[in-house]
Amino acid sequence: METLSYLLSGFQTALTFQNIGAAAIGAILGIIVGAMPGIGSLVGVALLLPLTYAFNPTTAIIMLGAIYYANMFGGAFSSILINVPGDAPAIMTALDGYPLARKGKPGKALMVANMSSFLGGLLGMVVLTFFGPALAQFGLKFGPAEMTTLMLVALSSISWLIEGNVMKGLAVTCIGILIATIGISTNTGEARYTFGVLHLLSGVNFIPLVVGFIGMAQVFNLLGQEERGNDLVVKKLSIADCKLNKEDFSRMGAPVVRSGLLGSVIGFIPGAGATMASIVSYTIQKKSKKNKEKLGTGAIEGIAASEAANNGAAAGAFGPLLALGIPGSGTTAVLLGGLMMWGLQPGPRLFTDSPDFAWGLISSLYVSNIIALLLALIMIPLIMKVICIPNKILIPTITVICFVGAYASTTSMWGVLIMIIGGIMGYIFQRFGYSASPMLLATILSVTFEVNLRRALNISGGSLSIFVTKPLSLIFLLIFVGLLFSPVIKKAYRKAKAQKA
Amino acid sequence: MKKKQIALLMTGVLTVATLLAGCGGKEAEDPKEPDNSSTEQTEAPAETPAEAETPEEAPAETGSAFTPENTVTFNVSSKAGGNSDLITRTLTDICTKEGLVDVTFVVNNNTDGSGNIVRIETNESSDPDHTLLCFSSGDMQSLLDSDIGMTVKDFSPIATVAADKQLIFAKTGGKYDSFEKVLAAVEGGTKVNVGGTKSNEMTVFNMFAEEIEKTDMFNYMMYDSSNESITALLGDHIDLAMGSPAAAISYVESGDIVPIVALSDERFIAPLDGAPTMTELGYDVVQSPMWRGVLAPGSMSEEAQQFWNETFKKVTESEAWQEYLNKYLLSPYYNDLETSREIMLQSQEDYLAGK
Repeated sequence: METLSYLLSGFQTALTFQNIGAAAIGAILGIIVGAMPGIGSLVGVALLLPLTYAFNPTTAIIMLGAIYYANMFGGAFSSILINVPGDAPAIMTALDGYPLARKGKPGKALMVANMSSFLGGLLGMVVLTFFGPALAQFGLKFGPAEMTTLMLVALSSISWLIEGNVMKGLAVTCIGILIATIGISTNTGEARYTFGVLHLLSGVNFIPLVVGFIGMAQVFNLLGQEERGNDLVVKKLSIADCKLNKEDFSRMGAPVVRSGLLGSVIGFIPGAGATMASIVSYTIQKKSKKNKEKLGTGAIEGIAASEAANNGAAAGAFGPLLALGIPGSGTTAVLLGGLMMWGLQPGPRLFTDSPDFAWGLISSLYVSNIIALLLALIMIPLIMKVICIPNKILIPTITVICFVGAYASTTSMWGVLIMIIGGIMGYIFQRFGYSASPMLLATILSVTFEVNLRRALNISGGSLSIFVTKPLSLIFLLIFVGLLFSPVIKKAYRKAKAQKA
Repeated sequence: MKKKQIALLMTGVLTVATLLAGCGGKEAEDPKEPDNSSTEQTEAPAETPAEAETPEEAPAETGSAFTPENTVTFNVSSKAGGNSDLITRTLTDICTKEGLVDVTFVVNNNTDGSGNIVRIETNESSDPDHTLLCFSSGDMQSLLDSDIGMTVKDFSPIATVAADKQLIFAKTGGKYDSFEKVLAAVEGGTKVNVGGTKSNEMTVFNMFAEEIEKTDMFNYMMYDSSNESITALLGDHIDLAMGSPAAAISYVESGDIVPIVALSDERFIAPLDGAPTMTELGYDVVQSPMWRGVLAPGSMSEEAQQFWNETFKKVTESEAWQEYLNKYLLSPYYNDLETSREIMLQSQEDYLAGK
């Protein structure tokens, strides 16, 4: 009851004319910036931070929250319409969003993405409101040992994404792990696989790599094709195409609830964040037997799982930020900077020292979520027509977006070079039937895996017992072993059943 | 007609994207998280609400024969919002607002090659008198461990401007919440896990371990930021954490962690004043302030070096600088040209000796 009264007083702060206006402006800008590949939520929030100087602290923070939150909505647009994920969490959205758009249903794909974002985010906010401080404490339990075994589970789930030739899938996964080892090791300070190239000391920048592997590779691919999309150019897209029917909603239901909740909890783990949430939720969804279509071919369930999870995580990330002052992701770190600039110190004392502010911010997230959804719904009928653009306009446009995105995320021509190399590699991958997503996911996950593995072994003095003596770590380890042997067990079970019959 | 509309829409979107990418944001002022955002190139001076005073003064007389005429490039090897970025923007802001320099500063953030690309660019600048580099003792590792073949000696040290000292923290009520308990443990043969950043914090912790003659009894875990190591301490994943006052103060105020040793020649202010110094504990003083300062290309003229040192002296005497130091719990640490050079070279030697 106490929480509800705090929340209601928070709404009193959030629902003034000025604050709703600030949230609306923040949401519009957030969606636009979030939709631009390479800029994404992290750079987007940093870019728009100075805009908040014009307001009083509460209004400024509400606007910042709206910018951050709406960014998550915007990320789906470029993934679905032009197959260029703007940010790491959007990689999973592109896997089904783009195929569905190519089937002539861009409006539906966008609508599913945004409705799932809204609902997943809403679940995340409810979790944040009622269990925020408790879950933030739970997040602290994830130390090196727990993160290592969690990453083992996540890495093994990549195998579910591998389709067709297993060897090819394993090969690209290994390439991804190799890419992650380039640069200075966090644990030892040694430079690895840099071959004297100074730029490589800080590793391979991930966003340009994604933009290259998926976006630029697509440009090369389109160049090799004849004029495509005529059928889509001719086809009239109307608002009716965006509408979701009863069946669509029932298909979205379970993935949204599951992924939204899972995403929210993952958001509370420092260092995990929205990318991890969308990867884990998508792969779990892929395992589900209730998918009407195969994931990866334009299934509504896939889009819903990815988007609900990353928005749930975006809301969840406010838990450790507000309750402990710990930024769970790069973007929340920038937000933390913004809050501190206004003299507010998120941390253990925030809820007791400045409850008005803390609850005002949480309430404003609900308001921003609704505003972002409304804006996205208005934008979908206009923006979905991008899918009908003929190649001769689309190719140069995506090329420029890739270049701008790669440059924006690194402010260096090195980023552009990585993007181009990624594009060439991605094209070769596509031509020879290798899928890029296992590689990209392996790159993200193995960085966290390695750092934590080495830290855990350092703590235990080299003993592997640390992974079984910690309860959470043991649970993840058992899940990992279960996953590893599940095909064998299933096979044995079926055999036994057949024999019995 | 339709094509025209599409083309117009695309042009609009691309223009906005290019503008956003090119203009670069900034002021993600986060002293806790040095690596949190992308690198950006922005033009100083930047308006911040904190410093509203703008005295209308002509460029100050510095007594040196050099006056900047061109745009000054101030290179930073951290991302926008990192500690080095923050201090650079404060320096350039005050320079402009106090009327000390009347040319434009361009702050150039570039973290490529662990910051070494921007260091090479600084040293090879075609306009050495108008090129500066933000540098701190925490940057020694990435400079000296790389194979770019440069040391501090290749640059012109301009000035140190502020310093950050460290404390050792433990979890409140934990098994090591006092120095005596830590000492008893390591003397009894128990290894203690410590977390901290890989730069200055590691150097000063090694000095501490050497002073109590127990170097083998500590496992030092490297984290990317003090914030990360304090998070690990809060979650009971490590026994002790190194940290600066700014990174830890809110957790000390809330009673979650407790400072057990001040690695300084005097106690810190409240609420960190509970931690004794090493001299109080009966040892020699252990401290290695992490200084923050400015380097310039090796080829910068003597006059320009003098000008910049005197300019930064005036900056450190300003009220706005005091506000900055108080806000981030830093110590004043301005030194003249010669002393700054000595301090920086000594830090380099300390680092190389500790390797």
